[in-house]
Amino acid sequence: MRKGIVQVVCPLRSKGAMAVGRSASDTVGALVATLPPSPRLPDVVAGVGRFVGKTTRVVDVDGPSWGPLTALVSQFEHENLVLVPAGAPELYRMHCVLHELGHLVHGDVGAPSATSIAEFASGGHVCRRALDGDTGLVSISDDDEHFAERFAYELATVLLAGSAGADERAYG
Amino acid sequence: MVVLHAVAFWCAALIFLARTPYVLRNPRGRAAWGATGVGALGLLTLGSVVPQTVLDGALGGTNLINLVQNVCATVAFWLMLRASTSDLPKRPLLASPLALLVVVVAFAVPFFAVRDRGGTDFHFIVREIHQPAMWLYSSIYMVGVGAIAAATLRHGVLRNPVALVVFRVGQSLVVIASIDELLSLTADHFGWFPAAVRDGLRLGFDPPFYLGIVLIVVAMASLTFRRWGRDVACRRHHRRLRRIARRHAVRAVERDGDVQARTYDLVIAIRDAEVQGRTLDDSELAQVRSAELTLTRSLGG
Repeated sequence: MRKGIVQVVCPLRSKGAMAVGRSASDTVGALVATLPPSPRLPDVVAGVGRFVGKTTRVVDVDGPSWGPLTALVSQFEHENLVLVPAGAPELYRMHCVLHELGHLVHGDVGAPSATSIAEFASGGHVCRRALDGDTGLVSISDDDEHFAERFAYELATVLLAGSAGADERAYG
Repeated sequence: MVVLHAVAFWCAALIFLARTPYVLRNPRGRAAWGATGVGALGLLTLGSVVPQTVLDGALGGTNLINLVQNVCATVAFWLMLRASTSDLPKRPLLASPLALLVVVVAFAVPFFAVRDRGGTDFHFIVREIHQPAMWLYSSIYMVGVGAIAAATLRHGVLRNPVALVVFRVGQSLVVIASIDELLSLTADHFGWFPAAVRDGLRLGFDPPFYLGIVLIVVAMASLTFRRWGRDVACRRHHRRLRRIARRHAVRAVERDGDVQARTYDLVIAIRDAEVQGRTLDDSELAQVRSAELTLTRSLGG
């Protein structure tokens, strides 16, 4: 049973307008329409930056224990930083990054966090993908987390199609 | 040449049948799929599999099969142009349905103006090439096919580099064959060049044209086989990951979708379980990494 503690703590700002009221599928469709054919993760990161009107970067953080956290996004006035643990398997890293990008396009603003990782993002408002100690991954009762996770899964499907996907759709 | 005609037919027919289940789920693949189907039908009219007399006999035995053959070939190349330019923001002019209609009507009208089409004859065009209507019919057809193949060569999009080379070589051969045939028809009609040269030009058409078709179909088939190979690998990974997930009481998202997406879902669920403290043994870890490797390859370079 999915159950989670990924959360947006005390939203401090009003949500961005881009994805509010849109389903994750619609948002993925709108975002993909702005990307080059056969997009890769860096294209998506840049595309989300354009989508939310703020530079977005992914930073691999080495060192401190991440505990149940798998990634977080910290939103500053001039840029968004997606932090992921250095050394995470490539595919899993991609999924965690996509989840955080989902928060950004959904307009989730987050809040300061007490985790040690958040010190890397000191001064930003934090959304994070975390896992509880039981069986759960991400809360499906929390709309923001549910949106971000669905966004990640659906966008991953687009990325997995890769360049072969376009050829196969047309000829294969 | 009969062998080459038969090889081209079976290549097109088999890839058409093999792709049918996938195309039912993927409307964007219908143009290329239709090209192989219509192309196979056109190649069937050459008589290498079913005698031409039988097929033409069913149409009245007046060489109408020749027109059917040329319409099928034109439509097949046009569908291939449509398929290969589907990702472009603006397609070339020849890819429009109106352009196809103009080309087909332009060579069908002189066909019906040919006097005394006679009984079924494989060399029907060569026999009657002295007639201006026949020269117009066969020349306009050849210009149409050559132009469509050239437009596909110029504008067609195919991202797989190996398939692209094979596809382009195939289209180039068709263009070369079309130019040769146009020259041959014109030389025969106006009596240019010595007979030996005209014979050479005539014989120079079949090898590049049908080899070109075979290569175009092979390029498409390579993508189908690649997809099949990846699906087989993902099904194997999916089975193994499900066993790991059951062993560790992990529940994945279980989306609908193809086996690649479902394998991805399991990988993420198992990696999440690891973060939560589950420990995978070496064998399980190797299986997860192997699945990740297969999926990561799909992400492209």
